[in-house]
Amino acid sequence: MSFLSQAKTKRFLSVHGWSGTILGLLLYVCIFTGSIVVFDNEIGTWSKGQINESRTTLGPRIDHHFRTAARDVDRSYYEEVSIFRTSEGDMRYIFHTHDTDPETGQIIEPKVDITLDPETGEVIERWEGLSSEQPRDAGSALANFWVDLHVQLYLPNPYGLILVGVLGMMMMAAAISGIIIHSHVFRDAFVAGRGSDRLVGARDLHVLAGTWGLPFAFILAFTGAFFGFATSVGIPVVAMSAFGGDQQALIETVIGTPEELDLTPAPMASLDYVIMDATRRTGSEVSSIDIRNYDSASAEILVRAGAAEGSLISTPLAFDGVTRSFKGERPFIGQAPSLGSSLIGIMPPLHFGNFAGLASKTVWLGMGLAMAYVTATGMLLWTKRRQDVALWQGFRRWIVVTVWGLPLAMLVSAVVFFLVMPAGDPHWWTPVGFLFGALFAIAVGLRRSDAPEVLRLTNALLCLSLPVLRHLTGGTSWSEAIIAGGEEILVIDLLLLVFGLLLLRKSRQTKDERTTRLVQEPAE
Amino acid sequence: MQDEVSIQKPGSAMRFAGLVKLRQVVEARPRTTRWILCGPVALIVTLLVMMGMAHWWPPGIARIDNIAMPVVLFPLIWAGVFFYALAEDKLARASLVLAVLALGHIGLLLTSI
Repeated sequence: MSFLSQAKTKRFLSVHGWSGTILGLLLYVCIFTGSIVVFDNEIGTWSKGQINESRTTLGPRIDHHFRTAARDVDRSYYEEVSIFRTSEGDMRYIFHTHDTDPETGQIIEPKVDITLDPETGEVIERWEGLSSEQPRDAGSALANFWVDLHVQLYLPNPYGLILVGVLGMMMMAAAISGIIIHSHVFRDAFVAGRGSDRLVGARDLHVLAGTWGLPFAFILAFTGAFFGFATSVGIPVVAMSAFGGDQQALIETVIGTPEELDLTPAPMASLDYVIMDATRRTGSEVSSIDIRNYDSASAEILVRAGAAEGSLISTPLAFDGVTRSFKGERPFIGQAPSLGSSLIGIMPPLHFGNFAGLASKTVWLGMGLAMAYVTATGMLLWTKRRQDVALWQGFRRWIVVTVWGLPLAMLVSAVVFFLVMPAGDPHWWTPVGFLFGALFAIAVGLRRSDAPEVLRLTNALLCLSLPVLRHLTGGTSWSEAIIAGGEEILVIDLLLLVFGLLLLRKSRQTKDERTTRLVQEPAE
Repeated sequence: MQDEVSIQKPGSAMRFAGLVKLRQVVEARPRTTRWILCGPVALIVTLLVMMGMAHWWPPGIARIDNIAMPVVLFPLIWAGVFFYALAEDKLARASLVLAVLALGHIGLLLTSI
């Protein structure tokens, strides 16, 4: 028996249904793309097809090559230096400073961006100019486009972020109302489907996936709403309230009062020693370094390593740039550890699922896809119960278009990316490819009665053709990937082939069932 | 679901005529009122609570908790306000509680300017 009155249950049920239906299609897009881009780094490596064995951490010896490169950079860029590895395993140094454009009054970031071979120290690429004018990396176009699709639905800022924040709130309303109206949570977690053709069977599967995914749905919705609103609405509103528009007071509270800088040239501490010290303190390897006021008496080195044993968050460690003495941990925000800083710090690992490497990412992918399934089946159930209303039947077609069309459009964007990568501009063509795929799905979905079958078959063929196309357009072969330790290339290719074969098999089964039905119908 | 109409004494009815009228307006269209309370009103109240929290939440040692916590708790504050407005059977009471919450924080903001 439910603890709610009949009227309350009706209201909560109504909110559960409407929250998943209004903007439900966009919610599906957001959840599905979010599940995929949990592996954005791996997708980046797979699409670029360039790998290197030890590409995630800096390694123990970087000081010599860094100093050599820094000598060729003008001192005006020494205000901030970022040191990290690219996804291809090369070492990248970004020397940059901050200035104000005299004409527009906007903040600009002049920089010198150096990429070099970590073994030989040979400079692979050097770029000098304004950050906003730097050409984008062609190889990351596919991963960037899919991430943009998830983060802001490819809409301009801040509208995309706000819309995604609203979707997070809708998802939270659906998840919480789902928990409240569930009178048999434990029984429903083990419910067996009662035949896929019946409404109760479809409902059973929706409830089963939804029940297991409820805690995950709540986490995703909560963190998603936070990311959507925090930067676009939350922080400006709270800052306005707390500091009455005084930006300087806000900066001083969050970052600290700017200390008196002594920019007199001073010999820098060895980065190799600092890396060794940070590794010893955290028990994990160093992934990146930021140096403030390089080569001066006020130099400070911020080291980012992986999270310490038993911790979800990795806190940067600060070292004196000259004496190399340990200055303490630097919280995410503020000048001292705090509850607020810890909670903000825990949001990214909870949302991205990257706190335990591939294992946690795989769980996040699986649970994310389960949530996409719950959203899609929820919308289908809603329209199935309203079969006699023309409006909802029209909406049902759009559900089919979106559920099958989104993966199709993403796959077409990948096909176009691989085709134009050798010569064209993938940053322009990848979204165009997505648009072509989406238009194809819309045309099929609205014109053909067998749209799900056609779209499923097209998805299958695209999944099967992508690994071949990647290889033909100059991507890393499987043997090269295995030798160089780029197992993600192999895994993504294999996953595409497996999904392609499963979809192909399902398409053949559906075709056989349809043929059998046609043969039997005259006899009846 | 309409609330039961309580019998009021003539004197008190005169005294609270404005409130009674407001209650009648709120309860005349229960479905519309609930949509408004759960939708725009819940969002506005959440934003006001966030802004007000910057003044009553303890800043902590790092002096940033009063800024960080409202932002972090935003989804939960909204969920609390939204589900309260949904669950409360008496629409007049829900309107009153949300109004007190909003006006209390507006007052706090005005006094801290």
